Amino acid sequence: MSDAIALKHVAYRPAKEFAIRDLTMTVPTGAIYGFLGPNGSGKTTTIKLLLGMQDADDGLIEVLGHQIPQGAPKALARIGYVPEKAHLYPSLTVSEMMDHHKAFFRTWDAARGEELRRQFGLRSEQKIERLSKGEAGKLMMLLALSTQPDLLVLDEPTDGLDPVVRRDVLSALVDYVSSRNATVLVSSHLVHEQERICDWVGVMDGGVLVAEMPMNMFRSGIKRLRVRGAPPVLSAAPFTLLGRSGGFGPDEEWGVRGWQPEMASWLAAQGAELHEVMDLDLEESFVELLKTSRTGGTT
Amino acid sequence: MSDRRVLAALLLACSAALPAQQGIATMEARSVALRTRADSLSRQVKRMEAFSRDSGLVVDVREGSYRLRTTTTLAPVATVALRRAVQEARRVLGPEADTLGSRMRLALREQHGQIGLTVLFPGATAMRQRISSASLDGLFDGGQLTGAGLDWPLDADDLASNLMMLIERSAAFRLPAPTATWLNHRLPMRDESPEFWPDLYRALTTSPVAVVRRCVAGDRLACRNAFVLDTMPTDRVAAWYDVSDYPGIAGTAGDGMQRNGMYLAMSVDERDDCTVRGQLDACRRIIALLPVEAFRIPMPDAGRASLARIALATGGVNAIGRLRASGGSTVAQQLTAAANVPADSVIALWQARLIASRPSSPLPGPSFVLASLACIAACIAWSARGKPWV
Amino acid sequence: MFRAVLATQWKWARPVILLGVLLAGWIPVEALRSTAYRTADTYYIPSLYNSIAMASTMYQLLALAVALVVAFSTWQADSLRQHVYALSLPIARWQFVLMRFGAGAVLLGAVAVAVGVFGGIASAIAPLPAMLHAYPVGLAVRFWLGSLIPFGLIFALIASNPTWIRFVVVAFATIVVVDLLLRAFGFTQNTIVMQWIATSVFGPSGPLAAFLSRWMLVDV
Repeated sequence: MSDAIALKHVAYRPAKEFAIRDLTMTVPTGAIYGFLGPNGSGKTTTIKLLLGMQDADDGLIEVLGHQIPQGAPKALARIGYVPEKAHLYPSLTVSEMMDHHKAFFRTWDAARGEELRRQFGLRSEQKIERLSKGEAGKLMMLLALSTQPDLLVLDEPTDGLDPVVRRDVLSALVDYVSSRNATVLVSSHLVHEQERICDWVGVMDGGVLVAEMPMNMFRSGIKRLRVRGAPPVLSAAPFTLLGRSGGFGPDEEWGVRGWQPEMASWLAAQGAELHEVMDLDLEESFVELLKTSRTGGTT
Repeated sequence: MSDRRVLAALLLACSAALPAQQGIATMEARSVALRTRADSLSRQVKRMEAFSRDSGLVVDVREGSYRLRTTTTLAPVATVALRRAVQEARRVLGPEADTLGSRMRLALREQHGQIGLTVLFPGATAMRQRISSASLDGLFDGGQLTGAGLDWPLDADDLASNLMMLIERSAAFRLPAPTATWLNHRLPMRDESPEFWPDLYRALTTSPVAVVRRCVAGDRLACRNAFVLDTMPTDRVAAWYDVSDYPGIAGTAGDGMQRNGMYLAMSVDERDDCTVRGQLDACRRIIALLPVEAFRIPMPDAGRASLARIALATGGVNAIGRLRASGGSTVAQQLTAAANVPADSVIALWQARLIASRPSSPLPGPSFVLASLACIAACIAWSARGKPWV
Repeated sequence: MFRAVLATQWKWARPVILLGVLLAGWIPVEALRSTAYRTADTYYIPSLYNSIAMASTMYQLLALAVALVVAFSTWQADSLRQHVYALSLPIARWQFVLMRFGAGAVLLGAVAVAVGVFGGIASAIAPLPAMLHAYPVGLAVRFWLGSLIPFGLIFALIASNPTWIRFVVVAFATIVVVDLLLRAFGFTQNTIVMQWIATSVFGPSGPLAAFLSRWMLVDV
């Protein structure tokens, strides 16, 4: 299976105080890739780089088999993009915006567009400047889906939307992906939402991709251990120790990655006693990962 | 010396402020203000001259027999300008040009006049005095030659042009009276601008005087009439105007004083009968009220100057001498003497030149189109470059 | 694609284009009105020619005003959204810019056509004096090219990134301040900076040189 998106050693410095550094990232074809990271971590900048809206200083970017930025127009013809902020022309009506968009995409599915418009409850004659935030979000999703893209790039698509609208948007997205086997790159800092739909996850922090793996590995690989009597200095552990902190009484809490039950014997050999192994949800894993990356731990 | 500079600057600043005070209602007050200003300027010029002399910054720039007194800072510009003006004069006047230079200097000395630049020093004081112009003044044969205002910074072209005007006026003094008067006491030596002839064509084609328009259309007799090369016609209106021009004459002929006089003698209704309702009888009555001086030579100064220039050019190097020596009583006879061909031939040459100078049609020329397209292409290329926005 | 771009720009610039067309009809009528009264002083060749010359200035102002408004309206929606939508379209940037410019040129062309048509009709109806001729086509072409240049300059400026726009605005403000300072210190005429700018912009080789030429509907 080839990759829908491949970035290799990409570097870009849009401002003095921020830079994307040595970014290598892969989104497999057909994956729903959750692109996680706190605000300002570089997710939107990365998306703009891979859509050819900005030119990287260094590295290689390939999207749907096209080099970016040279092949950006060809790649964009197969990409549905929903940006973080509304980007449509405010003085146009919904139908005018759809007509305008249609003119640029040969793959535009008029019937699908009309169906989505009705499904989303958008009126043709509504002016975009008068749409609510939720309606504008729906219209952007409508435009992205109606071009029948092979790749959907969604930058915080549900940010600020109320739960009902968010459900509508996600439902339309899931329907489309299931029917077309399209690839989706969805950027968000809403971790719970990603957990429900994504099968791959990449975590960005401070311009660096700190983790990239299948979702199931991400969720099951990070555990919290309650340990008692561990010496301050440990010999080489068979798992990755993400963090170590004081717990209740003599207990310590360890964040670990790559934990297997049989590794308990290694703890015993260190003179430590394993009291509990706790599963973490995606958000806790995400937080644990960020804490580790910011303190310079190994990931 | 520093005090003098400050004083000079202050004087100059005060003189510049004077116009603001001239809003005084009465003529007397205005007259007083003007006299005060003139006195102030005169004092200022004397002080500046004294300062220039004392400071040793004054130099003489020479070209042949011509001499221009100026400052060391302005000397390079003045040298170029003077050389340009004198070369132009030599081209038209031949050896006469250099004699003229000596005569001018002599006459100026006798008249205590000056041809020189009023010396204004940029940055002479810490307060940066106001410098708006340098003036070029001259007296010749008792008459004021010019008082041209030259823009700062001094430009060799402007200075040459003003020097040329001085020379042209000087050169006209020994012309026979009819031609000197006909030329307004200035012997023109060059076209005033590259657009001189097209502008003249436009001006004559849209002239309010029928005889001028007919001249441009190719009627040689009309030209002779329009130039008034012979004697002034007795009935100028009949000789020069069409009936259809009458409302225009009634509306605009004559200067302010004459028009005021005319309006005193006629009713507003009568004027409207002519200018608004086009009643010719009313027009004739109004025209009859106009003094004969209201009807000057129909051909404008620029047209007459260009004809004289063509006559001199046709006559060659000694044309000016023949013109001076001409004993004829009319302009036609004197131009014939200068050109060495009949006046009608000079007019024919002039007409040919004028008609050849008809402005090109307003259709944009290739250079305009190319320049526009180049500019547009540059704008598009600039707009399309790089990734400027997000 | 071009039709879609044209449609949006038409929507944004419609009021000014329609107003431009109306003025294109009014100017020649006003300029040649005096020919309707052949016997009155208003029908006096110099005054007729003067009113045509004034109309020339009006055409220039009209071209400038329409060009500026169309240029601003062309990019306004994209500028407000930092051009994100335009850049997400599957088309090379230069193609998009070319289409935007082309659409602007078509809209300005509509006003130029109105200038030519109305000018042609008015000058055909008006009894012009001998030796004066109407040049409606030449005027229309001049109007169109002349309006495209300021349109192109503003178009390029707004299409630039904010840094460039800031640079141009700051540079302009600096020039104005320098000029004011020079005036305050006594340099009242033709300060070198302003003279240089005026020559660069309006001089024979300047981008706006077209505005110094004559835009005469009727000429010799």
